[in-house]
Amino acid sequence: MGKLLGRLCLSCLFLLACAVSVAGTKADTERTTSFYLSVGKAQIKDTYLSIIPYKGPDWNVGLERFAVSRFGNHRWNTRHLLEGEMAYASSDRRNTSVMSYMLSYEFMFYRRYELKCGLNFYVGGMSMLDVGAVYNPHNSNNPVSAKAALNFGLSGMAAYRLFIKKYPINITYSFSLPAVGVFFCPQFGASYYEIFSLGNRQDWIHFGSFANYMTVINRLTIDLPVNRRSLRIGYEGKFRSMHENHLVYKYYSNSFIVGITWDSSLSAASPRLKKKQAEAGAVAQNY
Amino acid sequence: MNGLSKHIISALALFVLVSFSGCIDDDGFNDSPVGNFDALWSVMNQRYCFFSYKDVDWDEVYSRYRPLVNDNTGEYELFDIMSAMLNELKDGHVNLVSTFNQSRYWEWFEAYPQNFSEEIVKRYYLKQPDYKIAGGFDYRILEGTQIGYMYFGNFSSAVNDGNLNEILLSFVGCKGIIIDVRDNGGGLLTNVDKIVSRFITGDMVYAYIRHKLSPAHDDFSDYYPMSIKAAPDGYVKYYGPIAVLTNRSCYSATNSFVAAMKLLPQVAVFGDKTGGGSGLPFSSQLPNGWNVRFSASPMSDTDYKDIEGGIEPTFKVDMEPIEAGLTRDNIIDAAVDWINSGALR
Repeated sequence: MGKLLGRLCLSCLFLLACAVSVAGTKADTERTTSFYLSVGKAQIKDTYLSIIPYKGPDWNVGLERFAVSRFGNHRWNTRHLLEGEMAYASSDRRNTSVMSYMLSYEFMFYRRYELKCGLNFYVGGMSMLDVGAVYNPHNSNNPVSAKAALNFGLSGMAAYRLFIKKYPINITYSFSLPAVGVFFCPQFGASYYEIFSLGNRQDWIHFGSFANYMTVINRLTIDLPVNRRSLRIGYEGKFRSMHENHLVYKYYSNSFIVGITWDSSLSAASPRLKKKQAEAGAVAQNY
Repeated sequence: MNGLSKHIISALALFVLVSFSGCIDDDGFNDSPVGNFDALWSVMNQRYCFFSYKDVDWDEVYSRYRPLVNDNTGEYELFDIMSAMLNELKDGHVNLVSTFNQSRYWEWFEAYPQNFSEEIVKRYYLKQPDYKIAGGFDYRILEGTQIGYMYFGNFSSAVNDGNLNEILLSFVGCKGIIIDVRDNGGGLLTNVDKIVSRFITGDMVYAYIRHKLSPAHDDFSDYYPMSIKAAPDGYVKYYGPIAVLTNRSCYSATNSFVAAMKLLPQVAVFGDKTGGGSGLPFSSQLPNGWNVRFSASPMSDTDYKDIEGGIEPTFKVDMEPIEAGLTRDNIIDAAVDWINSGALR
């Protein structure tokens, strides 16, 4: 895991280093909304359920809202991201499987730095609420490993707009890196019967930090203008890990994103503003 | 596209390539005969809860069985070796399940008299087909008596409060009730609570449960009470004499049921010692996909004594050898006599 974490951190630093080395443009719309689907491959290991890892497809559906905050002379942005995740993973021989379900809500608050040559750089804090479970239908009294965590940490984003002919293409990279929080984990051999039916809830909520609970989420998206909206394609990489009570949980996924982005501030804008934005050609991009 | 743009795109492409290369390690258990054997031994070593209670030296077991496995060991042979290793634990909750076989340890009942004949019960006591079925119970008032009889063969049956209300209402006015759980191999512990709650006047602790805190063999949590709340007002309850019938095939949740019922002052247990099975079973999988089930959380009685070995009856009664022509179940008859004798009063 150390190698993987190192690679991810290096990736983040590399991109951010690129980001601060170039100039940027001004964010020019108040609020954009994105809806996307993603399909990829996940690897799951949860030693509460089984000692072996599982691999298989994962599917995600997400709704993202990015807005300019009125706070701080419009240099601050808020970002909400609600994502549902499902994975069906099998053992190497494909004769045993697990299912994973997770609902995540992320809230991010960014300070925007406008650099000089087409790139915006955002950095700020984030909070993340995860609720879900991994289900192993082959097990007796340990068929489910519930997941629940509330974390706070860092988030960053780099957005660059380039033009191919006259068409603006927005490339955005973002990461979320929760640092501290609380999470649920049963004791090593505690059954859910004991926890929920008998009420033995000793040592089931834990303080989380990089030492025992880690989540890293990377997203790279490209928005291509299509009429008044944008087609979003991209990549999402997620890594969650937990080490507590001698139990280990890891979830690693790589997914390809397809979605749509639109300027949701237009719907509430005045006819005059709508006309002005329409005259500007393709929908202005948020990043 | 200017040079800067190309540089940024190259950086992003590099990032994606780097991110895609991650994977989850598997603790070194590969899908080979040796890898699967080691995985099984390791799962049990870390999570099985009765090594000390059963005085099993798991390292010594490894040293005897591991040399029997090599990379040329076939699947059937590997299964047999693994099954033999697991049977060293003498635990009915330990099974290895493959696509072609399931290992099991059944000596806890196979080596003893069966002490139950479903045919005799149904033909001569339930008077088949003249009995009722509700929530997994076969029940009726025994002919020529004022004694209610209910047979419960599986604790996995869906028992609801309505079923219990109807059954106990049908026994109103009876001098006593017989609850026959012979050949009941267990099921849901929550059913134990539902049934016992009808026979207690206040909340009761009937057992304690522990669980492992780490892979160390004897690192257990504190004893945690397993309690049952008395059924609330409006539910039909029964506080008269109750005979519980048991045999060696009473296992797992049935063992817990007997442990709870035996604590009640109006209850006597007839038949044979129960089979035990007090370890709440967990499961895991091996690299080849075989499933292993094992005892994970030990339960003990209210004196903190483990009940893995079974529970002794109040009155030890064996059936006559079950053979053609036998029409009487002398365990039921002994329970009828006990209720009729008014010994409890």
